[in-house]
Amino acid sequence: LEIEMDVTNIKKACSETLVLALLGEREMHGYEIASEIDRRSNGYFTLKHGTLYPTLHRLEEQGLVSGEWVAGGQERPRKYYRLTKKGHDYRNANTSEWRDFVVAIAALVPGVAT
Amino acid sequence: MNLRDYVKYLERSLDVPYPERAELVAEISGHIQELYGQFKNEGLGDDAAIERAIATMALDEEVIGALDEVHAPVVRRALSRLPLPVSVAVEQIATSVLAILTLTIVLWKEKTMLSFFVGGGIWMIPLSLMGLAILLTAGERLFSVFIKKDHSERNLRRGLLSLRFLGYGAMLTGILGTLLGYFEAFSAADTIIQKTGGTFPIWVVSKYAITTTIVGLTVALLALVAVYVLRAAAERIHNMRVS
Repeated sequence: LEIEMDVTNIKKACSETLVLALLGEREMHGYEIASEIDRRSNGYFTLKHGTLYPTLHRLEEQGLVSGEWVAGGQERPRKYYRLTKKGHDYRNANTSEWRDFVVAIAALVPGVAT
Repeated sequence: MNLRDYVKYLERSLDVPYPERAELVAEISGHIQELYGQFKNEGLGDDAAIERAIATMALDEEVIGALDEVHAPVVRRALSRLPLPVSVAVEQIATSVLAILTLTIVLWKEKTMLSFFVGGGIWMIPLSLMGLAILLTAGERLFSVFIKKDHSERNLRRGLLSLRFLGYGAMLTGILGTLLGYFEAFSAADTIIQKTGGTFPIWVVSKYAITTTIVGLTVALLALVAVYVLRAAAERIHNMRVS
């Protein structure tokens, strides 16, 4: 049970990193971000979609992402998010932190790197 | 539950100030509709698609709480960082600012203001108390709605009944005071003139009008008090109801 708790907490801590990584590729709206996380992780990071919004809005408040409502023809307006300059810098630093973390875990826990 | 009802429920559950709340609800409801469309395309029926869309969003207490926290106004956040007694004191001072400002002006213009109050006679006592109560209530309401930005339905309604009662009460008391003043002055003038064998013409023509208006205003004030007491009781009971 404790192992499960560890992984759950790490997954929770990842949500910011995942959002920043996806927005680093292109601008996306909330549903798109959640679907992409589901699809690319083969369901490993199955988000409760609602949890995405506190993360997105916190990042927006911190100036790391900016959101803009776009009304496209007959489709309903959607709020698209993109990384700001500050967000790009933060994402690079964050990626580097995760790289160090993964390397350290791989070095310490046999079988993780395979 | 259909999607519209769910969105209404979501809007009520959030403690985020407007217009941010409206934008947030629009964004999340758009997301739910995308999920609903996705599940419909996957072959689910209407009800099952709605149920699954809502379950996938999983806007539970924890998520709603996190959204409230992210969107909390600056003042509310600052107050929550202070120790409780300090934040209560700061809030009370801030809400009393209108009353403090008015009292400062009264004291600053002491001579003229005091003579103004004394000149008004005994009726200035209830009027001043009502004025002070209005200033304190209005100050608290303005702080809560515009600065603390508590836009919950209950908070938006709070204090309106008292303000209405105090406003109408002050108006009726003011007019009543005016007419009682006239009554007293005209009666005194009439008594003096009668001693000299004459009559006071203004008093003769206005006696009935002034008397009936005084009685009417007294009845209206009593009715106002009764309405206030009953409405306040009804609101208290309404707020106690579970559903």
